[in-house]
Amino acid sequence: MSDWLLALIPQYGLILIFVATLASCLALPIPASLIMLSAGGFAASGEMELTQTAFAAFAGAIIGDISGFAIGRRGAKWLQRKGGRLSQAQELVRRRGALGVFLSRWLISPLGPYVNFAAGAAGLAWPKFVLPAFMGELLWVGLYVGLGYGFSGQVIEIARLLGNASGFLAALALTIGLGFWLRHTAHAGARNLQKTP
Amino acid sequence: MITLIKHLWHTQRFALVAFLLALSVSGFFAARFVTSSIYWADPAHRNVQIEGWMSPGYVARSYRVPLEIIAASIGIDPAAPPPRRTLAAISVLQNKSLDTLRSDILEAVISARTTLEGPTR
Repeated sequence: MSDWLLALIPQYGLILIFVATLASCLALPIPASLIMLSAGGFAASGEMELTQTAFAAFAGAIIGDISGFAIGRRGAKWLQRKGGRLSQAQELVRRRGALGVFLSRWLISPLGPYVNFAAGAAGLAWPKFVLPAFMGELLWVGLYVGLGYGFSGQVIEIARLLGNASGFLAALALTIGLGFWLRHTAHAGARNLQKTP
Repeated sequence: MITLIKHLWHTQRFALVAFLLALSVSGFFAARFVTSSIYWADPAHRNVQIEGWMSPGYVARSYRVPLEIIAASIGIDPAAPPPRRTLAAISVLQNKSLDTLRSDILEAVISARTTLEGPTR
């Protein structure tokens, strides 16, 4: 387990939390959820300050999101030069992107970093990204630090439960998305077959 | 159905494989979620193992006893327990093994619970 990482929380506190949420928004493998839960737990036992903890986590998350989004924008230019076909996906992201950004902050958070890159690459407008990201991260940080505070002393167990729940929801969202994609292409294929007897 | 899958296999192989993969990952996490909630629903499993990363304050919250009891059990001034120090750090400082600290704490927790709540049946 990441015991050594948890041991660093009361010691390095806010910096560690800030770096963890920032890194996790860029798809780096750091257990930010567990760290936020534990920080909430340490806040409950009086070893950290609750509002400072939440603020550090939130600042890291939003900076990480914006960085990921900016990287996606740069990457898009590179992909277009390589002649990538993005138009269909771009269209979808521009229409539904904001909701996806919001939900992938907290409900299906394992997908969050990839949504950052994808939203940037698909050319989602800045306000349509930043606003839902802001609201979603507020919820994410509030939820995890709050649960850590409320269930302090049980954070490993809560982390396991939440990790499985969000893993399930993220995989389910992917399954549904790919299902729709397959259905759409199957219908399109059938139409084409009808047109060419 | 089979024709559809065959058609998709020829035209959208990547998406089809990704779909099946995502579906099985969903099943995997759903099963893990159910087993971990069943495990956690049993009150006997709620007393967590004391680990090196925990601070005395954290253990106190976890075992629902006053911090002073935990602090006293491991030879720290109960009035002014050192903030932000993990049990691992304390064990190094006091030159004791983590297991010793663990058993000292558990002993104190058990005796505190009997005096706080009276004997349980």
